Amino acid sequence: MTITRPTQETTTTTDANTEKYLVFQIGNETYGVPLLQVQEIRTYTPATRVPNAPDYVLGVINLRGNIIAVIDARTRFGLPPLPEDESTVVVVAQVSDKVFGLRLDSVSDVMDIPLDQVQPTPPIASEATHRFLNGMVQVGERVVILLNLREIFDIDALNQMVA
Amino acid sequence: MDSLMQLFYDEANEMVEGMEQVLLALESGEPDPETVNALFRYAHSFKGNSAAMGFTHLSKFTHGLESAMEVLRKEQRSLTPELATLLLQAVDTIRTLLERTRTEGDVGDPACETLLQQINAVISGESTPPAPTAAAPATTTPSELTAPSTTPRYQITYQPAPTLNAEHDPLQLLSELTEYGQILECQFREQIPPLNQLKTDACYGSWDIVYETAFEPAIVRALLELAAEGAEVRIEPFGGASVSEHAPATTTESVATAATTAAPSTSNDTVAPAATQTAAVSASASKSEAQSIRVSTEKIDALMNLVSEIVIAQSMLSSAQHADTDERTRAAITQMERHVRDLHERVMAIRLLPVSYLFNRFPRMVRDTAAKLGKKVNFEVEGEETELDRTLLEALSDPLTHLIRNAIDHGIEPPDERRQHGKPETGTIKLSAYQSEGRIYIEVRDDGRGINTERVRQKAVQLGWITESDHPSEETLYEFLFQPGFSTAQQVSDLSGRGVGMDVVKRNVESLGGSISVQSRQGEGSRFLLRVPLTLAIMDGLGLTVADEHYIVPLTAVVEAFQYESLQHTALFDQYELVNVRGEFIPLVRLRQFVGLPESDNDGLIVVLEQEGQQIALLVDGIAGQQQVVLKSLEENFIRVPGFAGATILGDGRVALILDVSDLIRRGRQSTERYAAIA
Repeated sequence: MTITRPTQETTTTTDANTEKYLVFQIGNETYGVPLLQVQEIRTYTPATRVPNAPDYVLGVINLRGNIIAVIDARTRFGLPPLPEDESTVVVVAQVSDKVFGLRLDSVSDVMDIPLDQVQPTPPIASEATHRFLNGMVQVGERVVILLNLREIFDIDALNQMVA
Repeated sequence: MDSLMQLFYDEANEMVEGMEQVLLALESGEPDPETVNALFRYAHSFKGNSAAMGFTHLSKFTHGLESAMEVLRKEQRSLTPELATLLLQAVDTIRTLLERTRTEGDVGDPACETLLQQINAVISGESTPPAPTAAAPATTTPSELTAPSTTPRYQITYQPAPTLNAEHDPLQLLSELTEYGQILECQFREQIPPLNQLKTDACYGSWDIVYETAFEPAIVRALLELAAEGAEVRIEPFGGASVSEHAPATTTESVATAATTAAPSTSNDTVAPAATQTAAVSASASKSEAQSIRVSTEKIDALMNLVSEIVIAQSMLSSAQHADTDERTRAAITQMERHVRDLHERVMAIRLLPVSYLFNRFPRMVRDTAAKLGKKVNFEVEGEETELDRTLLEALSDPLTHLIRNAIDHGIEPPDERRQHGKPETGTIKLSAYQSEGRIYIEVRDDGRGINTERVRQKAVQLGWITESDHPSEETLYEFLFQPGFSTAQQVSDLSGRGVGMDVVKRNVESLGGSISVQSRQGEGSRFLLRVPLTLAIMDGLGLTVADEHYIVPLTAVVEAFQYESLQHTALFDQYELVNVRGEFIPLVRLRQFVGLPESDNDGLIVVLEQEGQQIALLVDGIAGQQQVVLKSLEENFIRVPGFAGATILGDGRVALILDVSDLIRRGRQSTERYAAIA
């Protein structure tokens, strides 16, 4: 199992107006999450299904003795899931005091995102998924869509759904 | 708070608790010099520590106490109840002051002075010659406390294993001894054979050591044995005569000079005076507490997680062996397996603490509560050495406090009432703990008036729970005691009887995966029995499989397992399934259905589960064997999943969910009850 940890220097911001983001592809678009929230990136290992959990919860895995849930990003965004391959990864992130994993098809890069250029997402996305977005920003030729991890994990909703 | 302060408070609390325990012991028994000395040690160290931290008021007060108690020690007097109460009050005052120092720094309390005066007055009033109380501060110095006469001495005969090797270094061992005590005398006895019989690696000779230490003989023995496997060690309480017995030693070699810093005295008469006291002292030395260090639970948990990971890695390594693996690798893996298993068990054991850790709080509480209520109570404790997970112990504190208070308040009758009924005036409350079938049982038993079932019934009628014509069984009536809002105490006291309590006790115990039951006989007493799991963290589990999924059920809940086909099956209204297990119909729960999998055509196995006297039959595809599992929280990073008590990590690193048996039973029973409602 290979585990890559963001190195020390990438977690520090270079200047006041930019922040490091981990960016990746889902479908055709590029998305990003703040690198500060990312603990590690690991290869995907099969998760144990949790009965009665919503379909986007792939299950639970063992993270060095702790049990964490893994959420499938594609399913969460209403996209058809892809079969896993060598590039499938789990991004382990922390929101509030809970750690969870987000399964992605791959991760591509760490980018400096100019925070002052972030624009609100136009309300074209469905209301259900609109809350997953923190805005979008043009960086060079790419458009990066910033994700809201707290909303994606949404522990309160999970509690209500499963209880 | 910095770590030095934390250490101070940890130690201070321990000392305050120690003083309290000693006082209680002194009050109930004969003045034993060792116990009195223990009191002094606590007071003295406490004084020193608080002075070092700059808490002058605390140290002054403790100093005053110490001086006052000096009289007690000199005259070997037993404590009168009056004095005991005052001294206990003083301990409370110290405790309060100690808490206040956390926020207010060096604070004093005028009450201290008054208390000291009272104590001194009581002491000087009792002793025939007026005692020089506060005037004798210099008499208690640390050196006096560890004076030679109070430290037990031992005669140790140490014969190293016949074959010496690199691991056996007698000098190393002797130097270790000096860390735990003083070597007063050390003689080497030579037994060297003629040159032609001499083996180069053999050890000829033994040591006779006169050793002074506050530790128990068992600890000295363990130390010696640890340092020198195969060695012969004899430890006897030191008596003047035994030294000369070994006089024919051919050489008197002063090994001690090489190994110790203590000045060894070779003359017998310097140590002889100790001989007469040895018997008494060594008996009391066995009371000394186990040596321990303080480690935060976080560190232990981290260690436990790490060890669990090693166990997983180990089993991955083991399964990676194949036909071509060479002998040496195999042997290494087998050895690793054994060590890892050992390591695992030992780390698990770290979390366990003897229940005395909790039980020690109660004698004081019983004493105070009984005194307040004008009752006489003899408090007995049994099975203090039973070990329990630390978190569980802490969680049991409140329920037990409540049960014991209740026993004093409602159970034990006032002395005159007891006399009228032909009972001894002093009631007995017995707190005992024992382990059985992988669970811990804690019992609170009193010989008081017992539970008046008629009054319980009346109260239930009054509350509208039953009607006047209902006469439920004794068991049902006892159940009422644990319902919220129930209290039979005719008068509300500030100790108990507010109608909250028993239901909270029940809830607390159940939240620990335990249960509580009560037995009582009117006029003879009551017995509350708590059953709790040994630990929250580890349990024996049985692996169950459905399709390719693996679930764990606590082994303690498993009664038996059968082939499904061999059982009679009935479905009431084609819905509520029951199976006939030897004439008894038990509700059936299908695990596949429970976890949301499609039914299978193949007949599986029935596992009968029981909890709280209720059974269900669980239909599974197969059984994957028994294993020890570490209970992990699903809630910590995720959510509580109904139907599951948690999760665990299997040998291959995968996660398996642990079934919540009480939830399964509830669901099974619910469907049958629904049937009963229809019928």
